[in-house]
Amino acid sequence: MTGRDAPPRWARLLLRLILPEGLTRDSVLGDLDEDFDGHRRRTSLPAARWRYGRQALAVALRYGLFRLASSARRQPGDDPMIPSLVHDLGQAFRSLLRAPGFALLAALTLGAGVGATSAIFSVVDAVLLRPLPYPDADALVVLRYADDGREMDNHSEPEYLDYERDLATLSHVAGYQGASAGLGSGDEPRRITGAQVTASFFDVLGVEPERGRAFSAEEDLPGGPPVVLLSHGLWTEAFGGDPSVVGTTILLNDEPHTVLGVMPRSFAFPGDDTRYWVPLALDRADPWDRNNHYLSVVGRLAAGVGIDALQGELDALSARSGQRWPDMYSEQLSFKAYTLRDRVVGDVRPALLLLFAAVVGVLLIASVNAAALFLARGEQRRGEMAVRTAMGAGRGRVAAQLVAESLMVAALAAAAGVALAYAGVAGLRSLAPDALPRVDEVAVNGRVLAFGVAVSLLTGLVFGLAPAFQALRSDVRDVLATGAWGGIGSRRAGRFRRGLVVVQLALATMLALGAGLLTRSFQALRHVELGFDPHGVVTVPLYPTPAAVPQDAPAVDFYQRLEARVAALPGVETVGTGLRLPLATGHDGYSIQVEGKEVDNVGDARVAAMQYVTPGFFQALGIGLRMGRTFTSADRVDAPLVAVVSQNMADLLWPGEDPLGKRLRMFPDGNPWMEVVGVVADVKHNGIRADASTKLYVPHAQGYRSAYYSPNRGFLVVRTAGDPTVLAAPVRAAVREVGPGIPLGAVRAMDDVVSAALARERFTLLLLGAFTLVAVLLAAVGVYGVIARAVASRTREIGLRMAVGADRRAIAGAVMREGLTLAAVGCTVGLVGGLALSHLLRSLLFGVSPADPVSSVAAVAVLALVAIAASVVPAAWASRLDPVRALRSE
Amino acid sequence: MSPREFLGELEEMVLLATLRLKDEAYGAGILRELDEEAGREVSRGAVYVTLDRLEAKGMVETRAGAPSGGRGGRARRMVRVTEEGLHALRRAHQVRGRLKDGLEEVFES
Repeated sequence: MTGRDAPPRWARLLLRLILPEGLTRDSVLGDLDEDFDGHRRRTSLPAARWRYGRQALAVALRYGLFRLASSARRQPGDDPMIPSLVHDLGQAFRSLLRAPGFALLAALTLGAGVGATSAIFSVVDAVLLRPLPYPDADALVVLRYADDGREMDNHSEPEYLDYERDLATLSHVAGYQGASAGLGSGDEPRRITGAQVTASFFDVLGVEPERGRAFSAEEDLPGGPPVVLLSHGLWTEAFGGDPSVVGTTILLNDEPHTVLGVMPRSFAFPGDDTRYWVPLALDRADPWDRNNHYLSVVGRLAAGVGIDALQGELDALSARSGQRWPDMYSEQLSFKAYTLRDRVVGDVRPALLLLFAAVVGVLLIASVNAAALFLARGEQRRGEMAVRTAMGAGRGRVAAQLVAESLMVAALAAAAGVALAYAGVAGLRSLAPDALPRVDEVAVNGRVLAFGVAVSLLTGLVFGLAPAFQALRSDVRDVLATGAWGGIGSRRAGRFRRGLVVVQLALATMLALGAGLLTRSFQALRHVELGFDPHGVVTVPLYPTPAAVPQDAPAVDFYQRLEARVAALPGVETVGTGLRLPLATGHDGYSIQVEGKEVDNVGDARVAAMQYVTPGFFQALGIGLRMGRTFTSADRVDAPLVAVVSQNMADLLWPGEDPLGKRLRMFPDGNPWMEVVGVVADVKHNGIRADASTKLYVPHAQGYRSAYYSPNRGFLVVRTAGDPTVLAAPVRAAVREVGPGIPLGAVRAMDDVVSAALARERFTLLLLGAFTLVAVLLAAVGVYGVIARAVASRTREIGLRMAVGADRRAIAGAVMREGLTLAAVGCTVGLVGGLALSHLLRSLLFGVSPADPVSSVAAVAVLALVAIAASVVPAAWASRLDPVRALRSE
Repeated sequence: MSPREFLGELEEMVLLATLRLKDEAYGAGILRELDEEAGREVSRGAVYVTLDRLEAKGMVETRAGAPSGGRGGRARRMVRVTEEGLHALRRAHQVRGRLKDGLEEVFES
């Protein structure tokens, strides 16, 4: 019976390890073989092997427990086969059982630190450390376009074709753009987000459909068949996970598309909300204009090629392009390569690293408290240890027992920490949805568990052992002769403890300083002038299909009717529509010509962030008028063409001049001039930290004459005097009435849109605040512990001083002074360290300097107050000592 | 044996199974006997540990039996109930008998 037809080898190995050598082991192995043999004949080989493994595990477990339990009852030397570590662990277990308070407190203190650290590590691991979910993900790159001081993801079709042809360092390159469509038909079709992609898209990412197939290059041609790939999520939600959907036809934007396949569950690119992919069908023979930038580009580096080589090729290409199309590009043109990972998670790296550093700080502070507990316990047991040593136990044996105790506590801490990590990760995931990329991937996994257990063991051992050695160093004879059996710490131990508390206070001060800086930044962000008034506003995105509401004249008519209907709703003050919504969507940048300042090439042209708006938009969103007028219903398509610009646009185009009456037009020749009739406040559009974009507003009714088109989609913006959320249902009903079957997006209060724009900052601040609170509390416990012990160890001295007439207030003052000294040293060290490190936070700060004095003073004040508060109780205790009793105390 | 110590349920069952098997009692056989007669799957590990415990209490003796086929040439651990084991069993049954007195309606169904 050898090899494949024998019982599992691991099972036998396990039994050999656990069972004592001799008849017991032999007979058990024999019995199991006999059982295996019988079973194999009655059933099958795999069944017999399975049964053998299960039984071996059960036997090993029972024997392991039995031996551990009996070893705890026996004395060392009884049974040479019981390894001494097992004996030590048993002894440690019983020793800790006798001091459950100590064990629990130490384990929970450490466990809290380990749990919080593991939870944050799970986020760091998922977001920063683990590769993106694509094969060989490190080879994936994103190309960006930079010219004239701005950099963006978007490229033109000819540029994309250049990349395809010229970049030898890329094995594959793909272009894509986000898209959205109404799915199905009926009164309320679903609005889904997707992407138009080149056929090479799936080769670049290295992911194949889990069912069906991807597009072929032929299907990705202009006039190709309408085909679609579904995301796993859309497939299960909309089609019940029915495999027969592949090959059938579904309605996208009212047009039948053949379902080619379903992508794997883990595949979500370019965004987590991408539900479908359709061919981009780029016209390679006749691409769009070179200055029409809309394609995102992702590529895969050829094997063995680094990103620097790609950048080299891109530099050469941008130099060539600049020479060949001087009217398109300025001299600053640069195509840039970034790793996909940097683009996905680059933004959050500083915040996550800050949080991780903070939580490690909390862990250290918690570990110091645990160490103080070990130290106190070590001192209490100095007598016991000394007796053991005197009776012949080697110091190694005594140390081994202390190691075992530390290990035991560390194991408890690991258990508590893992439980906390699970809770923490669940909390983080519900807290962070908008604030973090890859948040779906955050989970407690093997790596996080290994991290938590390793951190527990390490901190448990280091912080448990240091005090143990401290205790061991004391002279045995000294201890026995003086009768200092326990309780009273040596002078050296006292210094050590004070040093630890200073470290705690310093760490807590640093955290408080960081939290203070982020709080001040957050306040500054909340008070940024947005350029509009979000209170009392609801917004509804509308996505009519071209069939339902064609763009241009029909779209103008549709929005006029819709706004009239919505304006009649009770409670509505004003209603307007804009193509883009600040802080919620991006916007298109169009090149423009300014009368009297015409330029020859697009690269030198000014770029305006375009907004197509109905007359009510400015008032509905509360965008302040600076000069002139906004649009009226008289600005019809047949009226003189007008425009409104933002203040920063006016300053940029006509510095020191009156912008009213000036004229501008879209860049290509032949577009009509528009006259500037008004200037409005700058609006924060691309985020609260970003500069307000330079905006050009055109009337929706004139768009298709003056600025290419009048869009059929847009955001309805409704202002009310009351609670805006009350309007959600009536507004939806009004849209249904005017435009049945038009897909609506989520109705959102503008306040929520603004709040979501700060989600990441809020998330970081909330966590850092929580960590700081815990750190400060733990530091308070540390200060209290050290002062209380100092008082306890000097009880006799204090009693003596009282007996000879010392004032009770003076006694309390002396104790308080001790606390204050610790606070002063700790806070100073923390402040110096914190200010040295705070410049690392610079990228997270807004409107506040890393050396912000308010934050520094606040941090020091909080910690000093906490240290004083923690000293008050022991001080009061000292001043109320009864001298007679104190003098008698040991 | 200390008179205060009672036999555990599994200990009693293992002792009884050993007695029934007479000279043929060993680990795997006892397990089979328990499986068949008690009609319940008993954990193998529990039985071995119980045997160890009974041996430590002096209620059974074990010795190496002759190696046989199907066991990879490994010896059986033959088990025999000692006088002390028998004594403990009898005592357990006496106690049980006394406790059952007057409870006939419960046990005669």
